[in-house]
Amino acid sequence: MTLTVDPVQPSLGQRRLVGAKPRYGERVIVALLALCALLSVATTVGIVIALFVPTVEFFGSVSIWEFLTSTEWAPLFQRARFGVLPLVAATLTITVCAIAVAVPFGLGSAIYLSEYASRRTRGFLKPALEVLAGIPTVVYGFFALTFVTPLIQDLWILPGEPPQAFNGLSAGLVMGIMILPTIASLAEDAMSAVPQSLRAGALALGSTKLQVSTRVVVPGALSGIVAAFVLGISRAVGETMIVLIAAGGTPNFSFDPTEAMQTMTAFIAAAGIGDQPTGTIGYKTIFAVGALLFVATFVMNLLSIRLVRRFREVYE
Amino acid sequence: MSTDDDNGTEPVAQRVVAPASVRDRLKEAGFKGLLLFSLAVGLVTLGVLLVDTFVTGSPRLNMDLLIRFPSG
Repeated sequence: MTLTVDPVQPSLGQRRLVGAKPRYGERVIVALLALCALLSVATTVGIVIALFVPTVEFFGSVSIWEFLTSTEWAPLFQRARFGVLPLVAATLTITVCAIAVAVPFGLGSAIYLSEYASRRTRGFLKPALEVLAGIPTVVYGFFALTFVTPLIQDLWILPGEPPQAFNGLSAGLVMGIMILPTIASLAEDAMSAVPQSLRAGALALGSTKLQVSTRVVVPGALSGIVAAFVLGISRAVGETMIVLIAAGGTPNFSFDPTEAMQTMTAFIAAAGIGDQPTGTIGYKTIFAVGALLFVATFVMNLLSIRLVRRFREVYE
Repeated sequence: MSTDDDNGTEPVAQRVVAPASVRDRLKEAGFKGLLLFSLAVGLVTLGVLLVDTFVTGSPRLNMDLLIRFPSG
């Protein structure tokens, strides 16, 4: 069989592919999708504007230096004090407690699920672990207050007083358990994406499974693992309900997790329940703390993007 | 290429790649134990949370919860 091409007619490759009729439905879908993308951007811009205006008004009345350096926080008292450091210290302390639980155990769970568990075992264990991520945070809060705190008080063997009824330690530990499945699941996904040929190569060179896991798979998936850590930490910084219930509502400039403390989110939740008249300095305080929290998470997200790009491995 | 020696000596693969030493096997077992412990932390806490919630909440699971919920 021979193929002949008419010299007058352009060949198939040269002809323009034109639809038989205008595809209006497709254009509508593209416009809808663009609208969806625009909606999330517009929401973010709206949040920034909503935070920015009252925050600027707040700093018209309160010195930014006092806000960032003073260690007394009593914005709703007669003799108001606006030092945000106690809230920042509490947020950092509880986040460190949460990270101390979530990062090692989350990474350990991810390595086991990715490298050691059989397909069948993984199919059962991973969803079971992910159930933890679906439990409402208010349940975690009461669990921390009514179960974990008494348990820690009973088992306390370290020097010094056992934790108070409200404390940052139990809130941080339970928060760590809450973010553990997020870190484990995302890190496991990143490790599963490492090509099988790298594992096979390392095993063929005589590596043990421990060496393959720690020297091939974890470095190969480092970008995804770092992203999982940062997402978990961001959740810890922004978590409200657990700290509101279990850590207490006392702004206390201390890094001792056994004491009662109030985080930035807990203050926003406690002060933002409608008791503050609009336009008062107490009302604007909520936005100032919210803006600080926004800046902190924004900087952390920027850092995470840089880290993810820095450690990214591209496989073909 | 044969994998096993016909004379009953060790397989070719074992001659090329030395078998894992006792130390390596211990490290491997310890590492696997640590990983299992990590997984258990999450799963045991989930179990404790569910049991604690059920034990504390089950006496209150009755019709009064649905139709005569305390107002304050």
